[in-house]
Amino acid sequence: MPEDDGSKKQASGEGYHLKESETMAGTAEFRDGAFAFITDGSVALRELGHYGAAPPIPNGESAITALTPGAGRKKIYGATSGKKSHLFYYDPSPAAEHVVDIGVLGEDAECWILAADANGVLHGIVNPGGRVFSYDPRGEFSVIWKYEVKPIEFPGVELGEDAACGVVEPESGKIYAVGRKSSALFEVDIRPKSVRRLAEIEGAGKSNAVVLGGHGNIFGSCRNGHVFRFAIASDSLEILDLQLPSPKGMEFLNHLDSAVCGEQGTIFAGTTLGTIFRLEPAALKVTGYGRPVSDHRIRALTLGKDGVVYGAAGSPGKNSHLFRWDPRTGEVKDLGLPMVHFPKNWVCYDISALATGPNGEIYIGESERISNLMIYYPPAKTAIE
Amino acid sequence: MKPVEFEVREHGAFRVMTWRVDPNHDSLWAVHAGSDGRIYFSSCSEGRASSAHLLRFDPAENRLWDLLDIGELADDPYDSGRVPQSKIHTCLRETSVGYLYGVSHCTAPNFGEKLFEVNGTFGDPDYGFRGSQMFRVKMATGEAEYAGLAVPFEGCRSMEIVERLNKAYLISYPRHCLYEYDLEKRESRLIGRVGTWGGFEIFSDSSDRLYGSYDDGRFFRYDPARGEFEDLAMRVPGIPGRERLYNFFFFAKKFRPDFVAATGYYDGRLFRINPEHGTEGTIEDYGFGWPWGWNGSDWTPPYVQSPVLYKDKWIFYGCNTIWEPTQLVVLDIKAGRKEVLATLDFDGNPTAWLSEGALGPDGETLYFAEVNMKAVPRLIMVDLKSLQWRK
Repeated sequence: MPEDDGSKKQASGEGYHLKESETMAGTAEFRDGAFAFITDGSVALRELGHYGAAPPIPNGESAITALTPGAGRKKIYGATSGKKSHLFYYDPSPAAEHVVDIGVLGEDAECWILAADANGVLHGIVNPGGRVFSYDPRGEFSVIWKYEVKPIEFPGVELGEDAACGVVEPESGKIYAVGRKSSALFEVDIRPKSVRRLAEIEGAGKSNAVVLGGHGNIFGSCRNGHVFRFAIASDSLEILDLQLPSPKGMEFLNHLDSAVCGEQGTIFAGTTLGTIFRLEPAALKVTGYGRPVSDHRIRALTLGKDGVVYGAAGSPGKNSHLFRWDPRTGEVKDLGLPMVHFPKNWVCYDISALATGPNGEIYIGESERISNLMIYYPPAKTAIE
Repeated sequence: MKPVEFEVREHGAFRVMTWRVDPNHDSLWAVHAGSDGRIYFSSCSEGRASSAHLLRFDPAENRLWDLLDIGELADDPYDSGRVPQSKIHTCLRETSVGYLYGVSHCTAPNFGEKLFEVNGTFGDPDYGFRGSQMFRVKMATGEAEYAGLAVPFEGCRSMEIVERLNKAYLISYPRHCLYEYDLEKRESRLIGRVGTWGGFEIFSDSSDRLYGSYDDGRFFRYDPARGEFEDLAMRVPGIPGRERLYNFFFFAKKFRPDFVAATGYYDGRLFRINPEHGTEGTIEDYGFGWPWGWNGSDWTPPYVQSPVLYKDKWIFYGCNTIWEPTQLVVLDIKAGRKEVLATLDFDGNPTAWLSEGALGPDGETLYFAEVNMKAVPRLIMVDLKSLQWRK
């Protein structure tokens, strides 16, 4: 049995003192070479409720799978998945600073689609069955000792199958969703209570995201990782001669995983094989930026207020890393795992949702049996004169 | 199964056994007194890459055997470049049909490296830990058998086996998730996360329900038959005002169905858990393990380690401030009296930690898996017949 000469250099005499071992987490060497946690910026944690005023969402029902800012970004809304799926909001105001459970969306249910329309009304879809719901927060009230919520509306509209992904058109409040099984693109309008099957798009049901790309176009992915474009006004579908960036030969396994659209209409997106790219909808140009981590999946993306895209990379059950992607410079940086020590010691290993708050803070939706709302504060970039 | 040369040095009531199955081994983490009258323990490493071995000491024959090298058994060699199978933590469990099951854990760096970080390498096929490898030993013959990958990508510090279901339940590290492993189908299933830093131990009651504690000391119970978690009102005893952080139990060891001895990580207490009493179970708190309590300024009171119940009257355990030599202490349960018996400092190499303790088949010898200051794997034996304490 050969001795491990490399690591034995730390040894002295008849043995090394374990206290002096450089494997120990507190050493500068460890911090320099093996620290997997976020050090660029800072992280906070909010439990999903607090005893007394706002009853916590129970373990097993707390995995956050959707996050979206409300009107004016004054609150962050989210949905959980698990034994029960809950709709909640986080009120960042100093008068509240808590999570409030709005209500239950379903039992043994999951919700991945949630977004606000131009009036601040939230629209979403909960699986199984692709049930549509909406929530009008106007009249809501929240301070630390009290809160009021409004009823969640279930208009009785559903896809008839699980929704794979979807997007809310802000002006109309319509949801455009893809069926997991049928790979069909649906248009859902709760006001006339209609579900319209717009097109069947082979392979689209394997994706986890579609995105509104300006000019009334929906972009998504389909067979062999090709990009599709659906024009809402003309009900027309095009399979574009564009493919998601992929390891060569794995294109058939690559699907759109998450996407956001910038103010200039540029789409920033990630794939199930873990690549990130930008899509210029007007020029129909895709530019790949590689993979932020060595694992698959880009499970969530959000546009920061600092011109930077923040994302969560990594497969479920492995570690999700937060990363930063600056499209202006092309820099992609793995920020690491979110960890806090107060109000409790916690590492967030699984991330399924991200959203940007009013001050540029990034809300991180943890998605395990015990889950919390984590908050990432990017480092200040303004130089001190 | 290979014979192993060993040496025993006597220090009064204490005997210290050393051997050499792997020059990279530096510590012991599990010890189990088998129903066959033999002592099973794990020779491991934390500071250097290695594969953990399971050894067996036969007190009647005074012989030591090397039963398995988990890296070799699982075809996961220590010099693969991945995080090695360097440890078997307190995860040895005997079944009624004569098997001893165990599972591997990770704490040592990749071969040739100094740093270990399981989070950074998590899931990496070339550098990461493959996961907790299950093994079993047929106790009648000493034959070792590979039993599959119980937890993918993670180590394991605590395991229980529910024989009625032929399943093992394991707490993973670093993600602190409860896993179920089907021993027949060799299928692993994630049940759910239970913590972050601690809460890494579980024990079972006579109804096969599993008990654990969250990081803040609240107990949970998981019923495998129903697949349901319950959050219990019971809490790990602690110092008021320090409940939120780290006050989970560890060193839980079942001596009778109604007597699980355990200690508190953050607040240094020793207590009995009786899972058979009432609807949730009850706790009998014996107070700080250190006879002189807490000085009020250290991060924790001295850590209490490896309790062993003796004749239902005394609990022997280790106690130390971290990196100070460990003291052997005895608690007279009825009198509530704690007595420091000895400083464990043999051959100029003080004990840093007692990882697990067991009472031997003669009913008069304590066996402790030890971690010491100079990285020498040693088994500490205490002869209770000659040990002096206030009886």
